Amino acid sequence: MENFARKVKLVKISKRGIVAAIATAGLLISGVAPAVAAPKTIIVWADETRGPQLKSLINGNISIAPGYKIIVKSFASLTALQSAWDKASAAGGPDVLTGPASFTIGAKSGKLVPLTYSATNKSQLPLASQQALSYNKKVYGVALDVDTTAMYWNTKFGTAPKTLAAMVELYKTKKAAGEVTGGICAIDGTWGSHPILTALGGGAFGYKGTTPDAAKVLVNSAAFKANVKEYLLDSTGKSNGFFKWDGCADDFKAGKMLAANSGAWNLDSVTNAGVKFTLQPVPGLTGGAGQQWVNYSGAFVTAYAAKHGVELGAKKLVLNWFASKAGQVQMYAASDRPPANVSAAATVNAANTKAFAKAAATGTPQFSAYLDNKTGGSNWYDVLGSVYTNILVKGDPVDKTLDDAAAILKKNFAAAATGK
Amino acid sequence: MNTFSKRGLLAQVTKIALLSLVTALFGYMTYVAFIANEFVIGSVLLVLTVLINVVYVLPRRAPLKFLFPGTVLLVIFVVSPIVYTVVMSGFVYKTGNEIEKDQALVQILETGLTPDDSSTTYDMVLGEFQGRTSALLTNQVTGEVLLGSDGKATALAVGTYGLNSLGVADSIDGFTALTNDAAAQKEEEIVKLQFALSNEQYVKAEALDVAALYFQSYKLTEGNSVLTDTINGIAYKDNGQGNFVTANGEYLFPGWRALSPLENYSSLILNPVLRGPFVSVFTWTIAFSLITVITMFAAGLALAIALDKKIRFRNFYRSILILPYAIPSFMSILIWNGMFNREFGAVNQLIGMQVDWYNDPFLAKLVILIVNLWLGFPYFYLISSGALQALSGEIEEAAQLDGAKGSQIFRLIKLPLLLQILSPLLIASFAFNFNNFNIVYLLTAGGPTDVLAGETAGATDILITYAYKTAFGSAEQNLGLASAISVIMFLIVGLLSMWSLRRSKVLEEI
Repeated sequence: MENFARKVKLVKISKRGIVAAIATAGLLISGVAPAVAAPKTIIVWADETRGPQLKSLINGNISIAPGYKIIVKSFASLTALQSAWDKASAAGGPDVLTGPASFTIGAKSGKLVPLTYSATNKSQLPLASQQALSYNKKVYGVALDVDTTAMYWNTKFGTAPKTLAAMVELYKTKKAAGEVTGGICAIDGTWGSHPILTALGGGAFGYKGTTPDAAKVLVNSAAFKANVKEYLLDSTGKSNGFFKWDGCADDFKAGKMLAANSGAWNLDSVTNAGVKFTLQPVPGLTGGAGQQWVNYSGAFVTAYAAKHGVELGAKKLVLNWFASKAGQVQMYAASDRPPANVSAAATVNAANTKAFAKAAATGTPQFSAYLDNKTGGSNWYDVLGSVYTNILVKGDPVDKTLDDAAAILKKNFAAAATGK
Repeated sequence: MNTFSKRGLLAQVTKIALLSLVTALFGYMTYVAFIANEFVIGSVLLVLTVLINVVYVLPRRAPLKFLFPGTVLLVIFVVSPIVYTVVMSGFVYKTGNEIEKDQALVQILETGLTPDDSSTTYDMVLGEFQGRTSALLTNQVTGEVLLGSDGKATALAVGTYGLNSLGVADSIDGFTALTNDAAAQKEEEIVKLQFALSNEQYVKAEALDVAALYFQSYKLTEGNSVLTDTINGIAYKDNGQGNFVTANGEYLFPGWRALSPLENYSSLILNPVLRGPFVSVFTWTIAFSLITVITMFAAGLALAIALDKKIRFRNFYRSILILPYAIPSFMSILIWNGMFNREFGAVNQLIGMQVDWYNDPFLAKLVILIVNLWLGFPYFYLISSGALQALSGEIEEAAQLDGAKGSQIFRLIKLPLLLQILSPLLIASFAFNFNNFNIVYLLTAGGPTDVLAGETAGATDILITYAYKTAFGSAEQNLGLASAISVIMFLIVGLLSMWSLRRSKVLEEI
């Protein structure tokens, strides 16, 4: 009986506990719950370099897109940003995304909204940038800056030769003298090797006007096959060591290679390594220049902006500030990246930036929808990696290897052309 | 008695305080989930909040008070991901097919919005007119002014509107302009506004101060199953797999997540592009797990036997042998990765050759087995050593009296007994290595992959790295297929674990 009474007492206390718990919960919720009429915010995502720069320029700004407050979220790396963006399909996401043009693939999954350029946007943003940021004939981003490469020539080997053929000859001489271990290093892997590939007569696809010609695969052209044998292989059919694309950056920085092809992002590391260099496009085989990929970083309005009720504000921010001359001049001052806006680019005076801009003039637009497609089994970058490995490391026959690569790429490009 | 009461009171107060905090926290999370339209998560949190209070406020149910946290965590972090993975494996869920159909239709129709040939744009001033959200629209080229209201755009005569300093119409009788803040708060309504200029063309907001002239080139018919591009007359039909597709096989994106329960599983068997890699990866996964367990067990047992005898410095040797086990495995793997480097690796320098360990499928597999042996043998040495010491010495003495030789005693008596003791651990080790992502990904990243030979999976890829690459390995991701592979792995490891538990008779003893 006494036990029963104790239990009843405990139950009574517990009921009071319930009331207290609910009351406390109510108080806490009312105290910390977000205010319903909070100012609308536009969330901008950026990586670890652009993020802090944008924070210094627009974080908390309420005048660029009147009625909205801009909040910049910086990620620890581009990989972290990419990873968060990949997962954004389930857990919401940013209103404005900044990053490489490869993010345009988000349009395929409905994660981006198409943009309508104003007449000013159209006149100030290069056509190539509009193509690079387009999917299925709709443009989804505005170009912020130019991502391209140029050849860093180590001036301890004299002035840069005017042709790739002369570079190969110089390499052979220096190699025989034990001064170098390689000729040119594509620091950024298969992507960064494009000017060497094109200087030798290869490439990804041809063009019909300004759009890729899916039927014209260049990687197994007769000229390229012949030039690979003549300039990249020795008499035994093995690599002569002139061209390297994997793990060669340290050799270049140690002064053991004539040149390297890379972007502005390696200026500091090469300079800090003590290498004296000049910047120019990779020379063509007998004249002219190789064609590096000219890509752009972009700013995109996401589908989440519509979900969050800030689509119009986000479009205003992207089209009127990110794309504008004023915005890009400010971003350039904070980042040193070559502006994509031609009016902003005209204000740039730094020698290295100008050199990259000059190299970009000889480049070719990077159509990610074609290069990332893997209907044939693997995408352009992986196919090219296998081409290099099989020919230069394993010593596989050049013609068959390039034909095999072309067969895969033909399927990829054909699928990309149909929007698949 | 007083002390007891005080303690009891203190316990009650502490309990109420903790429960209040937990309730408040969960209540807040529930609130946030609901306002974010995450109704499933919100409902689960709500139920959880109620259950927490029911379990911990009411008396009795003492066992449940202890089991509850573990059970909840098990459901959230183990059962839910498994259920979610199984469900996702039944969907066409990949790049281009990530959102729901209604969301995809909204996106598709937005891509169908086509500016007129002149890309006509308007400066827009938003406001209230006759009780409706309306807009004064000034053509940026011609200066023509329209009033957008009630779904229509009506031209205004010169003199009926006022212009601001920029020459943009900002006032007419009865029109009250909205401030920027007020307009921003009404964006969800404004973004849907369409002011028809003709039957086909309408003005639509592009920002809070800019609008543009569009026409919709896509038309949905037949219950949203056929979409027609009115510009070129192309018809797209719902293919039942999450996409609108033309008769020529041209796809329209975005697509949507379509339910197709067996599609991913059947494609692993029927689609030659997927079947080949899957079979080779599956075979290597089994081989890798088996060889790994056998070699690690053999090495560990051999060392345990060697050090079972009393020799000088035995404790020192025992300490040394455990070292590889003590170093974090990812560090060891990265060090080994460098040691097998073709150009500057210690292994090639020691043997004086330029062996390309990572570009040859056989050698890459060998590297993985060697490094995994290095990482795993100390564990098997430890468990074998313990098992050896647990064996009764009388059995060995009896066998010796019967004239058995040392090798016979080991082969016919000790080894079978050891296997009986250790078999659950061997099976568990097999299951662990079946999912040993680190060793493969950090050492070879699944490679080499000769994509020119049609390979889409690496020679050293095991199922878990293959699933990871399928899900996240490139710009084109296939989450549904990766889920199907994960479910297959789960079934295999789950069955192995059950077998292991039965062998160790753990369940019977409980």
